[in-house]
Amino acid sequence: MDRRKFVRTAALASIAPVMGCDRPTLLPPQPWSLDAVRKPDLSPVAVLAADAYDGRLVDIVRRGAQLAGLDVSGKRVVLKPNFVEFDPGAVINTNPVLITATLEALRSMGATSVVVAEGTGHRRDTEYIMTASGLYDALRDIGGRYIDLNGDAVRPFRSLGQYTGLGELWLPETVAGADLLVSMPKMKTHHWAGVTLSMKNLFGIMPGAIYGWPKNVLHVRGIHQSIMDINATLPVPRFNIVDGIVGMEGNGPIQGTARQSGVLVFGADPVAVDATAARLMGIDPARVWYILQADRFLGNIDDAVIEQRGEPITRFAQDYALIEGMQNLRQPITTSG
Amino acid sequence: MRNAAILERLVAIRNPDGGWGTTADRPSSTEPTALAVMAMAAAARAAESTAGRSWLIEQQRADGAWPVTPSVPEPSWCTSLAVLALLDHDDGDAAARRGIDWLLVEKGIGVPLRERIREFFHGTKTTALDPTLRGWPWATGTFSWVEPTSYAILALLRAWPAGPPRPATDRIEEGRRMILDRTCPGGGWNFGNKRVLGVDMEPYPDSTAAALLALGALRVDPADVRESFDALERMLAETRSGLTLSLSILCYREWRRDPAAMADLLVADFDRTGFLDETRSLALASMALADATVPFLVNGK
Repeated sequence: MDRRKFVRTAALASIAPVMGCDRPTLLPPQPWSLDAVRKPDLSPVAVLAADAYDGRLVDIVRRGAQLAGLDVSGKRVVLKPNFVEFDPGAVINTNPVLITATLEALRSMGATSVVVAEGTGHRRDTEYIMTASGLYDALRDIGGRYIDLNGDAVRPFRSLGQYTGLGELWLPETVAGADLLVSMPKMKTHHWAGVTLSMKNLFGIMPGAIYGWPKNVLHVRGIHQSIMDINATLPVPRFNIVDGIVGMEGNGPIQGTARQSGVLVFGADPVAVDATAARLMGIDPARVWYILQADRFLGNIDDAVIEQRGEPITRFAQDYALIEGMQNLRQPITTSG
Repeated sequence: MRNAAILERLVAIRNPDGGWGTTADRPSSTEPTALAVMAMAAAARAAESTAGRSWLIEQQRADGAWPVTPSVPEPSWCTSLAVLALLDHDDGDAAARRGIDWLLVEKGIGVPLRERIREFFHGTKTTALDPTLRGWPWATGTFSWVEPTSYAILALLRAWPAGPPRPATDRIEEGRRMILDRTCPGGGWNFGNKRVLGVDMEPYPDSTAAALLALGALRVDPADVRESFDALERMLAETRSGLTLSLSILCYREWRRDPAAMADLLVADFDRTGFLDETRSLALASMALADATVPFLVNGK
């Protein structure tokens, strides 16, 4: 097996022994605390064209952030990309060029500080992933800082979701103490969760020192359920930027293949952003269990209350390939071929 | 001393409370402090190693285990590393023995009922591992994985240099079998799965070095791990990091192999990245390059 094939199978292996990966089939009664409710009346989401990872992204990110109503003036910001693994031949990760462009854009918009933080899911060798992926050099060139969340100081927070049965979640101080967390997922299909976008990306904030490598405590409790608890509990204002310039279709989040979509999605409501990104992938967000759950109290998936800004979805929407067993996620009416 | 600069950086990032955080700007926690204490002891830095041991002893739980960090009350996989740092020191041996007692009770779970039901109805096995073999988990109440099992075996072997008694021998033997059972096709280890849904898995270099350290300490037949050493050498040809190179050097020393070429690469990598100022990598590198024997080595020099 070559390196690429190996990395593609690594994600599967990490959760397999105790995965709890089958999608729950029933909507549970309301388990969440009223303190978790943050569903807005209206959710602005901006969709912008971006056809390559290059220097133009600074301006595109700035425009997208402004269209979606982001104000970072005076704020300490944490960017959370997706670096669950690294494979030079695959599109697993949020592209380092987009990460540094976002860092520079938010600095120019008045952020007090912007750091990049991640808790890699499979491997403990942060130095290898940082240097091999190019993120180390890219951040060094602009004076950026990376924080490994796997070994961060932690604080307990009462779980406001109560989907997993875990009474509290240990969250990293870097994230919990920030003024704003920007989730920066890669736009990908996911062989257990359906899609991995802004909400699923937050698995990576959970410290490996406590939750293990792979994050076994959460897998035991169920992936969908853990996504819900993390997103319900996180006490920090959020913004989300989905890297859909090149996405991943098929057997994602690691084993899939690249799909050029040429798009970035921006918004503060992670549910609305994920619903929009799902539609860009030809997937009905209401058929993804955790997104449907999140619509009940965390945000909006109904396009009638998502205020679309920038480009129309139809310009970029494609049917991302879905593995067997995930075909039921397809939107009833395909938006493009 | 080739590790002088690395050692000095490690000393420089020590916290005022005597412990070490995962990086320079973080509060003290168990894994980095245990590793740094071992590095300080190997470098004969008595003041720093004594203060570090005091910090570790203060954090020990009533049941003998150590938490990941003082703010998290649960027992953890870090216990093995704290034991290794404290054993055979007048001020730490008693605490280490209580840690050993906890390690003998701590055990990974088997395949959960939900997964067994899923496998029954789907008619397929998700993994190819032997679910009856249970080593040590990262977090209590979860599955056994290669790295925490390797560290636990090292701790138990160091606790009884003349040979452990039962039930320690039983746990060590089950851990040995678990690690060997998790060997990837072609050799080496990742976090602990060799085949998933019929797809063969490949190893990570750092996990492979940790497993080979434990198996070297157990004096397993070299023929049983020849493929894994070959796999490690293949991976080392394309991996540069303080963590991987340090664990690999310690592994080679345990097996009485020559690590000189890797030592050069390790020093060069420190010059390049400073190992990102991570205490774990700095401490392991300092031990890997030390002339003295270190607690990670049971038989090697």
